[in-house]
This record gives sequence, C-alpha cells and structure tokens, in this order.
Amino acid sequence: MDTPHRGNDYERLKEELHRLKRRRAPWYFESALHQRLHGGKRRRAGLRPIGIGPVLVLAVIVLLLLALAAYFVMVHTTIAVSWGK
Amino acid sequence: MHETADEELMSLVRRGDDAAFVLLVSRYKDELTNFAERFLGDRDDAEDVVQEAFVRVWRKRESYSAAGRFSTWLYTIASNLARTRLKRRALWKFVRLGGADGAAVDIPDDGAASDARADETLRDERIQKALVSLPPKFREIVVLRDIQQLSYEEITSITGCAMGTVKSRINRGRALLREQLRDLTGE
Repeated sequence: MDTPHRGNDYERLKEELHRLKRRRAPWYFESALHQRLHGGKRRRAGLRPIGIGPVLVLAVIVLLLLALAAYFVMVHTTIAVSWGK
Repeated sequence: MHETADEELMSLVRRGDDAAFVLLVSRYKDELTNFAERFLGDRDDAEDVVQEAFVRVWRKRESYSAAGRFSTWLYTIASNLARTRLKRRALWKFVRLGGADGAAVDIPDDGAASDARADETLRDERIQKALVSLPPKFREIVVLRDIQQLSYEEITSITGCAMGTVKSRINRGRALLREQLRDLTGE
C-alpha cells in the first residue's frame, strides 16, 4: 500500500523511523494526571497550586511593614511626649 | 481486566470506573507521548498535550461512541490539541528568544553507551530535526504512518482528510524527509 517516492530507497529511512517509536511518558505521568483530574481547583485548571513559599514571603513582608509602622508610631510618640515637656 | 478490549474498558469508564481509565492511560501514554513529541519536537509540549488529551477523554467520556475505535478517538483528540499547540506557538514565535523547533531533542547519556548506540542516538537526533522542519500537515501524517505505524484508514479518521490527500501528503512528506536525510538513506 505504501508508495515511496522513488523505488524502494525510502525503505531504509522507514526502518530508521520505526526505531523512533520509543519515547516514553515520564514516570510521574499518572500522578500528574490524577492531580489534574482529582486535585484542587488550580490543579484541575492545569495550573500549579500556590505553594508555601509565596505565602511565607508575603507573611515576612507583612511582618516587616508592621514592625516599621510600629517603630514610626513609637518614635513620633516619643517626640510628642518630649515636646509636651 | 488486562485482556479487555479498549472499547469495553471505555464503556466501563463511561460508567465512572476509575480503574478502567487508569488501564487505558497505561496502555496509551507512551505511544501518545511518542507521537506528540515527534510531531511537536518538544518534550514539555508533548507531555502537556498528552495529559490534556487524557483529561478530555475523562471529561468527555459520555460523548464517546463505541462505534469507532478508542485508539482512533484518542489520537484524534491528541492530534487536534497538538495542531492547536503548533498554531499557538507560531503566533508567539516572534516574542520567543529561541524557537523550540528541533531544539529539544535530548540525548540520553548512560555513560556506558557503545559507539553503535551513540551513532544511533545521533541519527535519531538528525531524523527528529528533519521531521520538525517538515510543514506540519506533512509531518503529522509521516509521524502517524511511518513512526506510529497506523493504517491509512486510521489516519484518515484522525486527520479528517480524504484518503487521496493522506497518500499525497505522505508521499510529499517522505520526499522532503529523504531530501534532507540523503546520507542516511544511502543516496
């Protein structure tokens, strides 16, 4: 049924092409698919879930801002008290 | 259950049988990954396409008609997704620093590979690059026929092309491929 372009000289290349049928799905394929089907909302949408890393970074930033705000409040209160004297 | 035909497994999947679905995935994941990677020329894209294909099989299980072969239905889904991926890639190509085409062929290095094995790996890489350089409409059919070894009937169902179109595309694709791989074909 195959009709190579010229004679049978495509046969050799075809043998090489047959050999290319050996790529495998990665070992984690099934578990990744399971996550896609039965995981959380983001997983089902094909997105990665937000990990603990970004949450920790955000928490540290918020704490730093709070500390800075507390420092300024303390300094201004001290100045106001000393002026009041 | 391991001897059960795909279509019977699919009828179990339609009733929500997880185990039947897992079995179908294990039967086709490698074959489909090979197809997608040879067609797209990119490992990550291929994994995404195959995963999305199985997700669609699960979500659209109700719409599967047992009249057709399961493998053909699965290939049709994967093939459509791969074509969409190629179009999207072409749209974004101008903002990409390096094209993925032909660049993502990994050469496994097990340290103890013989010369013959190394030669084979290099030949595979050359063939993959030549494949990726073919226009997608020829490449798809050459991959389905000459690598995946599907029948012409299956290819017409998967691509939605007429038999004459499939045959002319495969001849044209092979001619282009042979042109690029003259030294391998011994011409």
